[in-house]
Amino acid sequence: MLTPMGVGKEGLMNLEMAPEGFEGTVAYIDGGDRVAQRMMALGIVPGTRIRVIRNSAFGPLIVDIEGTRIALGRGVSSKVWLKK
Amino acid sequence: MKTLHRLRVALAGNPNVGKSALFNVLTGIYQHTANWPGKTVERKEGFFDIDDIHVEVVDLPGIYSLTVTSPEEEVTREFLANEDIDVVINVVDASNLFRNLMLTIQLLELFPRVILFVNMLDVAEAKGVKIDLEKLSKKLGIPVVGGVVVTGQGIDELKKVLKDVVRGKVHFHPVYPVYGQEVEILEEYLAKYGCKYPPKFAAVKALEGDEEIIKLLKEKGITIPEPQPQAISQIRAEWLKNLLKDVFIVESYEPKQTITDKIDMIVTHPIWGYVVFMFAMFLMFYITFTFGGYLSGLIEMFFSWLGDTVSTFISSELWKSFIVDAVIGGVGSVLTFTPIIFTFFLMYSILEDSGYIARAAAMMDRLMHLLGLPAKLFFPLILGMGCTVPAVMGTTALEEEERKLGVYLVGFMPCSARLAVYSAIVSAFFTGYTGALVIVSMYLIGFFAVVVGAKVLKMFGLARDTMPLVIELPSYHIPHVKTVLYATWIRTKEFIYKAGTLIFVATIIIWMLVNMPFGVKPENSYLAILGKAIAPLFYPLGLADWRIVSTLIPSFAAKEAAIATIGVLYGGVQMLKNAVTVPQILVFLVFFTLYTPCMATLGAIYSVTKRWKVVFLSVLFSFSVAYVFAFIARLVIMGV
Repeated sequence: MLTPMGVGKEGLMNLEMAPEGFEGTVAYIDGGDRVAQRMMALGIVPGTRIRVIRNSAFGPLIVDIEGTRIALGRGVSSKVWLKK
Repeated sequence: MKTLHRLRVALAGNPNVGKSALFNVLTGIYQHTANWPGKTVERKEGFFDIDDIHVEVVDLPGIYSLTVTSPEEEVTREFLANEDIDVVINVVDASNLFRNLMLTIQLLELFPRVILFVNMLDVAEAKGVKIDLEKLSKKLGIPVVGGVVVTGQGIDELKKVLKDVVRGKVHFHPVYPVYGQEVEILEEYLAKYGCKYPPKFAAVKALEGDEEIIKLLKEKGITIPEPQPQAISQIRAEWLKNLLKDVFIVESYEPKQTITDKIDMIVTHPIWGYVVFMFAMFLMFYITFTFGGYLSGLIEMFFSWLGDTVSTFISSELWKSFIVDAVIGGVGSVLTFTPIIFTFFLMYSILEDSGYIARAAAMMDRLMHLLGLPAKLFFPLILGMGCTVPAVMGTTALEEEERKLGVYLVGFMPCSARLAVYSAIVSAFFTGYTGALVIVSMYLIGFFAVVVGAKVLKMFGLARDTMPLVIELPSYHIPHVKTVLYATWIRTKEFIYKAGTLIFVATIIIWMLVNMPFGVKPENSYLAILGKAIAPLFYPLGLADWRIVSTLIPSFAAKEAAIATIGVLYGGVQMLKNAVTVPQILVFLVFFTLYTPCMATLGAIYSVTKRWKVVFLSVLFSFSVAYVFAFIARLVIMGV
């Protein structure tokens, strides 16, 4: 389903695969559990702009959402799908 | 001044917006903490006067949403729905207005009498954001006050608005997003049939997939359409973006590199970040145990001087021992912990208020998550290698769900008192490397017990799975002195009051066990009687000698008491070798490492959770874990 670049599902980009500096809009979040609720509460809501600040092999992903810095675990970030 | 009016106010808002700072600035020293009923979430209350108005303030926990996914959110929601309050002050971060107002909208749906306090105008300005407060007020339909809590800007204006609320001069006409037909139909229906929450709030939350509300409505036989949490959030976000469009006067969308960005280049760097982290940890614990430890030493010296001085005035040996060892010793042992707790919280609060702790937790998340532990438990666990008492106190920095896990686990980390016992015993049994290996093994076993313990607690439903990492990294700022000092002081005070009583009483009981009936030989004391009585319990562990079992009882007062007890019962630690075999002592050490934490730790657990049930469970839990581990050790070392 996914191409090696992490682009799949009608050309959407998975946040976990998004390189540092990538800017996009949140398309949707997989699942409707507690974690998804928490992400939305922190501002990761479909339709909002997101910028990847850090995404390296070590340490958490760090993103900027409307001026807020949020750190995400890798597993969690793979639930977020972005469009350009 | 005569007080004629009473106003009940609640402070609500996201974490890291200066809510606690505002609470401290408003109430000063007139505050106290308690727990929310049935929760270990802290409830802070205080009061202050404005002319003839007596204002009572409740500081609600910092939250991001009113959908219940954590005890903090539950507490806030229950409070706003049920308690009798006049007005809510919603503190928001001006530099982060969009995200903050997402909560404001939900607050207004639940409780319309909200005053918006837009804090950190200075930070926003530095970011190139200016806010038209008047326009914001008009668009939201509620009073808006801007300011900077730490400099005092805006506080007088806020008080003026509160005064106007009392005089009935303030009007709240909040404007709400339109969520669409499904919400409206449900809302109308709920308005007709009633619900413990306002109809709009309940309708929105039901569609957002809030479990409690869905259950509530289902019980009433109301059919709810399929929840669409993402769609609701999106509508709210878009409505808000639209509202904010001309509220920002100069919205420089040039991403300016702020100081926070510059610091984060290093602090969250995949390599340097860990270097900074190690250094910060080292500094925190070094200062805690050197400076705090130095002050503790002074207090200890004072109490031993006091004991010596007092004892010269008492002729009866019994009373001398009671007054000096039990009473003065008991008070002394409470107070000697205080400087360490104080210093730790001072350091932690500074790091927390400056914004660093969130980064540290983010950096540690992966490793900790792998072990099934919450990231922030890292600090208490490390601290636990110094002393379990501040480690337990340190779990207050965790969210409720994670704290529950933490208080049960930190006791497994071998503290410095346990190290002293290892050293004394090991030196009697082993030489050179073997001794060092035994001690290192105890640390590994302690750490292993933490990881296994977490799994067991989750299995028995005593703790939930830790949430994967999703945390805000707040902007760095210079810590607010008052807030840091209050946080530190309150923790220390809580420890002295709550833990103090327990420690004191336990010291006296243990003293009686060891010294009564007065004047008899050690093997005839109550301690010995009790030791002999519980000894059979330890036969399966291969521990046949009642004396070694008895040492566990005074170790409950303080772990290092084991050395003295062995001295008394065996006539010296070296003599232990003649009565106990090497395999036996190894099993004993495993049990000793993990079993029931000392009473000061139990006092700290009570002080943190304010629930005797947790204290009791933790005794039971650590005893069981110790027993199982020791039994396995026995099987491994001595065979079946």
